[in-house]
Amino acid sequence: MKENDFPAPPIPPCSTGEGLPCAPISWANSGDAWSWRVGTRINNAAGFYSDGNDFAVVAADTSAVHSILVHKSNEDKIMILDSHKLIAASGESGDRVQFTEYIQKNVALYQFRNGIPLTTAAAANFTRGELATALRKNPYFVNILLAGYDKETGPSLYYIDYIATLHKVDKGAFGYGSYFSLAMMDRHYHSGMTVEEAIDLVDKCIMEIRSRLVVAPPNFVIKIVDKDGAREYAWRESVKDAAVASA
Amino acid sequence: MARYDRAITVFSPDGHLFQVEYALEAVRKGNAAVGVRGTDIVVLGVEKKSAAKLQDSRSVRKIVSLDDHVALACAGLKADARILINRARIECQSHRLTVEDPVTVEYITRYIAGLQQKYTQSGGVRPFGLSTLIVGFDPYTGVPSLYQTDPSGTFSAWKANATGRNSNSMREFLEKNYKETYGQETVKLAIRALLEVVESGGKNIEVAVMTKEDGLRQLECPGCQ
Repeated sequence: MKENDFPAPPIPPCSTGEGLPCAPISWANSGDAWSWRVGTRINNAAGFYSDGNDFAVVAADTSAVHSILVHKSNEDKIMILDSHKLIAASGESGDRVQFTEYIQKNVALYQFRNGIPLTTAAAANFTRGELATALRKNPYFVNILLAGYDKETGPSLYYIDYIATLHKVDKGAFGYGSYFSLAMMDRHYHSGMTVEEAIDLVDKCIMEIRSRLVVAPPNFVIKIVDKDGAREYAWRESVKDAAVASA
Repeated sequence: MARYDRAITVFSPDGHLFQVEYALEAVRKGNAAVGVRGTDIVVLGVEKKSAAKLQDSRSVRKIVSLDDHVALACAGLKADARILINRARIECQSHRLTVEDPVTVEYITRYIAGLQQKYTQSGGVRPFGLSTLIVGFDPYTGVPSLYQTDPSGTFSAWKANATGRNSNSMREFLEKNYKETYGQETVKLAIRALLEVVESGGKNIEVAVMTKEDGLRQLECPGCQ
C-alpha cells in the first residue's frame, strides 16, 4: 500500500467543515464548495466509540434446595445453550433442567437442519413459545434470563418469566434477590460499561444479596458471552464443600 | 378399510419382495457415492451431476451432518433422503436429551435402517428409494466407522464401500486398492474410486472429510487433491 499525501485527521462527533477530508473541493464545477457536518455518537456518552464492550453477563446462585435442606451448593444453573448463548434459569429444579435441556436440544436440531445457528432473538421467542404452549396445561415453573451474542446485532439479553412474558432488556433479575439487584443496577448501570465495570456491578449485587436477604445463598457463578463465545467467567464462593475427614 | 390394508410390498411366489428390489433399482440409478474409513479420518464422496447453469449449487448439499460426529451421504431418491435425514437428526438430539449421551454411529445406523424396514412392512406405503453411507466417530472411544443401509432395511459396517451408479466398478477398485490409511491417503483413495466412474472428474465430485477433532469439513476443490 502506497502512502499518499491525503490529509486524514480523525473527525470528532458534532463537528463541521468544508472541503477535505470529508467532501471534495471544486467538484463538479470549479468553485463549488461543499460543507459537511458530523452527527452525535449514539453509543457512548464519552463521545468516542469503544470497541470490545460487546458482551452480556449473567450470574446465578448455585444452591439446590429442597424445603429446609440444601442438597448442594455448587449447582450450575446457567446452561450454555450453544456456542454464543447462555440460559440462566431459576425455579422448580426438575422443570429447570427438563426445560432448558429441551430448549438446548431443539436449538441444536435447528442448527443441523438449517446449517446456521438460531439468533438470540429467535431462541428467546422459541423459548417463550414453549412456555406459553405449556402454560394452560402443564406449566413450567422456570424463570429465564437468556443472554446471547450475534455477529450482526451484537449482545442481547432477554427476560422470560414462567408465565411466558418476554422482554428484551439491558438488565434484569429474578427471585427475592431481585429486589436488591434491581436497585443496585438502577443506581450503577449505564450503557457502554466495560467487562470490569459490569463484573463489579454483579459483585455489588451479590454483596447486597448476601447481606440483606435472610436466606441468602452462599455461592454464585458468573458467566459471560461475547464475540468469542459463551463461557464461565468466575465463581463467587463463600462456602466451599468441606473435604471429608478421613476415618 | 379393506383397500388401505393392501400392502404394496408383498412376497412373490419365489420369496422376493419386488418393491424392495425395484427400490434397489432406483438406488442403482442414483448418483455414485463412496465412503472410506481410515484410522483417524472418514471420507465421503458423491458424484455431482453437472449443475444447471442457473442453479445455485450451494443449495444442493449431498453430504449432510446428522450430529457433530456423524455424517451421511446417500444415493437414490433425494426427496426420500430429506425425510430420513430429518428423522435421524431428531433422533440424534432426542437420544442426547433422554440418555445425556451422543449417539454411536451404529445406533443411528440401526435407527435409519429400522425406519427403512418399517416401510417395507406397512400398509399403503412404498419403501424409501435410497441407500445411505453413514460415517462417524464413536463419541467416547474415538473409533471411526462406516456403515451402509439399503431400502430393505439391512445394514452392515464396511472399511470402504460404494453405492449408486457404477457402484460395482467402484467397489472392485476399492477391493483392489484398499489398505489401512490415514489422513490424506484416505481422502485420495476415496477420490480415486469416484474418478473411476465419474465423467470428467474434478468439478463433478463433492467430498467431505470428518475427523474426531474438527467434525465434518466439506472440501473446497476436490480435483486439486
